[in-house]
Amino acid sequence: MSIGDLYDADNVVVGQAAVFFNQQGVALPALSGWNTADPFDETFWTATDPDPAWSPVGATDQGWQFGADKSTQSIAIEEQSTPVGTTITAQSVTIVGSAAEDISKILALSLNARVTANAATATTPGYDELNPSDVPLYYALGLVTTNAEGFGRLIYAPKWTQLTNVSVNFRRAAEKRTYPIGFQTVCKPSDIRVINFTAAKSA
Amino acid sequence: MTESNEKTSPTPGQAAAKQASTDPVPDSDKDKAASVAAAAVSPAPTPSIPASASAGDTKRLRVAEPLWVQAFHFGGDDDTSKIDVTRDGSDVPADKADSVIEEASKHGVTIKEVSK
Repeated sequence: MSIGDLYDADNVVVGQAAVFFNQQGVALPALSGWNTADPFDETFWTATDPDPAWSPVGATDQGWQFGADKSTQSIAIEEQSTPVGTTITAQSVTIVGSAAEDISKILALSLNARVTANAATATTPGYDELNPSDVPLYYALGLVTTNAEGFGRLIYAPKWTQLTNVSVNFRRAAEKRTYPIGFQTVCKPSDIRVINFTAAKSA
Repeated sequence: MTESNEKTSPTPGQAAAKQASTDPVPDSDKDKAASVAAAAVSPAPTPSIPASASAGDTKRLRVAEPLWVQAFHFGGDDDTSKIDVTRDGSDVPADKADSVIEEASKHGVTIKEVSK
């Protein structure tokens, strides 16, 4: 047996992800609507016609990054040099990226703000006004990507914040404007669902 | 912004009340008696106040989409004709409802009518 027999190179996956968001508590759409032939099929999110609708966060600078950072506490005793146990004292589950579309939706996300839309009048042009809030806004969030089988993967949680520090460069030509986005879960770990699709629907 | 606007802009109810104060005053009892007499010879009198202008004739609208829009402000340049539609729902004059919905759609905002 060679070392090559110990792995399947087809399991090494390169691929992008997309993030959809909604107001906190909105349930993940029924998995019966998942399209294993096209994990990025948006109809999964729109088929049940939630009110309000799920919305894609959109384009990014360098894609999305998923993380689950844990802080641990080693339990030690005097009589032993190695820990007798380990506890998880804190866990931060995050989805991070830099949104690259410079629109009101992204401004609202990055500034923890709501939008007030104003119609144009005879004397005032139409405009959106955003007001950052000291009160955290909460979102339901789903990340979609492919997996080794090609059937797709979902990461969902019903309650996240987006309170990342924002710094935006306004350049003549050197680079685009991007808005740092960092979603962090504020729900029980058991409410976080990571769904790895393993087969298409049976005939 | 929403709060400050609410301080300076009348609510739909206030606007309707102000509008009602400038609307034609209903006939006095004396005039009503004359109207009744006229009705005896003219079976279909024209109402002095159109139904759509009644202060109680409103529709409840709310901002439905997109989720990041909290409110939609519609209306003229004077405060009396300004209409605010919130995500929680706002009562607006019935004759303005279609205009509000149409204008909102131009801004990418979906407004739905909801039951009171």
